[in-house]
Amino acid sequence: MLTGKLVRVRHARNKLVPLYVEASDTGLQALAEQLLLAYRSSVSRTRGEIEDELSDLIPEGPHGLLPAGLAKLLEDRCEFEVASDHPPDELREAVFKAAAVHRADAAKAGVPFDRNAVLTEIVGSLSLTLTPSQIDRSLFADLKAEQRVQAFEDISAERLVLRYNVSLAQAILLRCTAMEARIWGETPARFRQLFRAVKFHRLICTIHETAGNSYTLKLDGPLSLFSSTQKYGLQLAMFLPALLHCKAYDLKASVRWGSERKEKQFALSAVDGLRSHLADFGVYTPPELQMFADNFATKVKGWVLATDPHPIPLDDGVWVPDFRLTHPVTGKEVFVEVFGFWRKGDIEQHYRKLHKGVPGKFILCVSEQMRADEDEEVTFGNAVYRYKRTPLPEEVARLAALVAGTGNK
Amino acid sequence: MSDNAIQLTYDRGTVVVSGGPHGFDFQSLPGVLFDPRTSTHRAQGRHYRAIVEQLIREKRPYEDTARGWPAEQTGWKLNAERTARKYQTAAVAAWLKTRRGVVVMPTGTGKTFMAFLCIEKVGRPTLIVTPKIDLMVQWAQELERAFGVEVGMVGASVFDYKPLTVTTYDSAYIHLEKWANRYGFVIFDECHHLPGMSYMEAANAGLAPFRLGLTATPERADGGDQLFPQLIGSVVYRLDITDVAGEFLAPYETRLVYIDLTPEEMQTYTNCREEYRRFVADRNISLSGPDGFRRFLFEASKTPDGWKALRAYREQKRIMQTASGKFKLLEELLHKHASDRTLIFTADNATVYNIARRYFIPAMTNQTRPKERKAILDRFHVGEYTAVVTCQVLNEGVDVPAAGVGIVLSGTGSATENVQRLGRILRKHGDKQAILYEVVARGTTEEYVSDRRRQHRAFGGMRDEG
Repeated sequence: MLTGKLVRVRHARNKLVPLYVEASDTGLQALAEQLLLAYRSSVSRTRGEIEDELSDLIPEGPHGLLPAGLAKLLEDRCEFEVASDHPPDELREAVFKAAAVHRADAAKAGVPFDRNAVLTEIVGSLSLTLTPSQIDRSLFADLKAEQRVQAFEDISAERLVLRYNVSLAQAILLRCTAMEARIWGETPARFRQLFRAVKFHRLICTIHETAGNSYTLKLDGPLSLFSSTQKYGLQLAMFLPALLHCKAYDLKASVRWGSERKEKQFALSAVDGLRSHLADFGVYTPPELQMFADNFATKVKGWVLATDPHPIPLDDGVWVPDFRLTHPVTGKEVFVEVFGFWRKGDIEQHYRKLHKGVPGKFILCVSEQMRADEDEEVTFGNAVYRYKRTPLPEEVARLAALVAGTGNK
Repeated sequence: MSDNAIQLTYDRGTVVVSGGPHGFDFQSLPGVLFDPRTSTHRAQGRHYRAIVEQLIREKRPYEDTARGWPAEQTGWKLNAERTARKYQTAAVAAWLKTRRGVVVMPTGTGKTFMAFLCIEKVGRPTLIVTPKIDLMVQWAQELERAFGVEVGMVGASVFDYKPLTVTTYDSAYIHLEKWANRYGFVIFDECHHLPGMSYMEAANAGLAPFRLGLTATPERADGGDQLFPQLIGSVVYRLDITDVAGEFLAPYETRLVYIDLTPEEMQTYTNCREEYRRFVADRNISLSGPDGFRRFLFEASKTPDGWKALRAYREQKRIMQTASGKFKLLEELLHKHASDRTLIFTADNATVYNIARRYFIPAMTNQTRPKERKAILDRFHVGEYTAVVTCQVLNEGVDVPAAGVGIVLSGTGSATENVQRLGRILRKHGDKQAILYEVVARGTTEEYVSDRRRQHRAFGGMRDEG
């Protein structure tokens, strides 16, 4: 991530406008290639040496911010190691102790302090296979500037530039106190992915249905209830890449900026074209679900099925069912989630949470074939439907009537 | 276990209250608010003590899983090397009345030891929060010596919580979810740092019922000291400098030593200086003006000419600060004081490591890990090391009582920095006579810098050894 000093923003009254860069800018691509060249040949060189090499590409002052930022992102992709033949801190201890004795002796004898004599003594006393000059070199090998690159994770110039834009937004969110994101037209699987990220980053999320098939997520943390705090800035910044996977979103954040921590607004939307650098896992929707929805519509009368996501807030987190069944006669609703692979313990825990949060309003469909453990027989109430090959719409409707108590109409 | 007991649970720096008899009004408990986001009742950790006290007072059954430290005494005992001074005993007694509050005592009067007495009395897992890594290391060192137990540290890439742990304000804030319910007693050292917008969250989140703040200067320009009562407790004891002055500092002298640049150094120095001054003059920048240096940096970043000027500026400064004559003088002084304990101060890290390599003297910089800092100070204290070289690390707060000689090779024009550097060698230790050498390159701007940093009565009697 970019450090505060490397952030490039423009101020427009109370708005913070990051100076995103254009990925197609050929000048910028060339600069990125030059920096990449340095890092691709960086293995076994020290941080200090790389810095020296880059000094011609990175001017002092404001014009150096962009190249320095790109370089920082590349440095983050390096793995550094302490290259030394003997642990440097042990060498230091031995050398400094011996030097103190030598210096006192030299002063008494009225002769100058002899550096080489100290090194030679150390070779003997530690019974090392090192030469004095190797000790000399290894003495501070653990200093940051002397650490050597062990591996560099390569990236294309274009992706580096895209990554830069995301880092810029993240560096601003680091200083934010609260964030609100509106998301349009996504699948239940996408929402589940988002709420997993919320939980992973230990944030608190409230969710509201908003106009135009959209949901609005408000994100902050436990202490935000009492006063606005930047405590959760890092977590919110880390959450951003998950949000960037959405097709249509906009984001608003309140930021305290600069040394005076002035209140500023930051906005971001899909139009800004930021691209997540995280792989997009876990949003696959199996074709069976679509088939089930189609069959349900033709085979079942009395319940209407909707496939648009309907996140439901629970005590700890948000549940996103696959389907919503509505019983037009009574207006009652039942939510359905279909599981692929499952384990008894997980389903039990999930069941308990839903039973507490939305009693009489849910059905979980679990497959007999895709059970992942071989525990003893399990029995749940009506709210768990154990299907053989594919879930049958008629059976789900029957259970819905039972849990919702609508009778067989 | 009662069916309608009130439940206290811990959630990331807050206390969540639930259960209870039907219709119980949670918001009648101190600090408890309804949290619409999670449909729970929640309070900042700092209200934990008041909540429990009220539940006990109203004789309501409650179950407490929020408290993450054991309710029994830790049994830590101070080894009996040291007896308390009268004012320390008085401070402890004043604090023990509520086991909360701020104690104001001047620097060098034994705040730390006063805190040790409190730790022993309270006997609960204790977290000490300090402003800097060095102070963290120093506390850990002294706690280990005083109590003979292992002390944890959290900060500067060390992450080790133990029942007795020292951390920094930064780390306490960043990791508050981790520790907020694990310590019954929290001590805020130099607590005037606490009432900032971020740091105070650490005090808000912590459940610790017992709190102690230590400072010599409680007043804050922004009025933040008004927050002490809610964050730590009110000021419960105050000792004035005039009550104790004169007794605790070593006698000292300060000496100003000039060195000459070599002819080549002088030549390069003059050329570089002319080059950047010409640039500055051409652009009409006044370097002594309020924003002058920032403007110089900005203008210099725009053109290749400017780059060169900036390089010239850096070069002349480097020559002045690391003139070869300074190293020769350093060698002489090290020779002369071979049997004393010497601290060497420079303006930058590069020079620190340069000296460390050339003379095999242990270096302490912002890159030195806490564990090694501790080892260095220990060995310096017992005399296994006779010198330490540092730039800014030892400027503030850290005790190096054995040090009797200070050598300032280079530094800023700040009088505060200079007084603090002098302060490092002034702790009373045996019957030592402290000496502070200040080395200045003659015929360079360093002479003005030196004049500025001695604008303090501590340097009134500086002797010139030119």
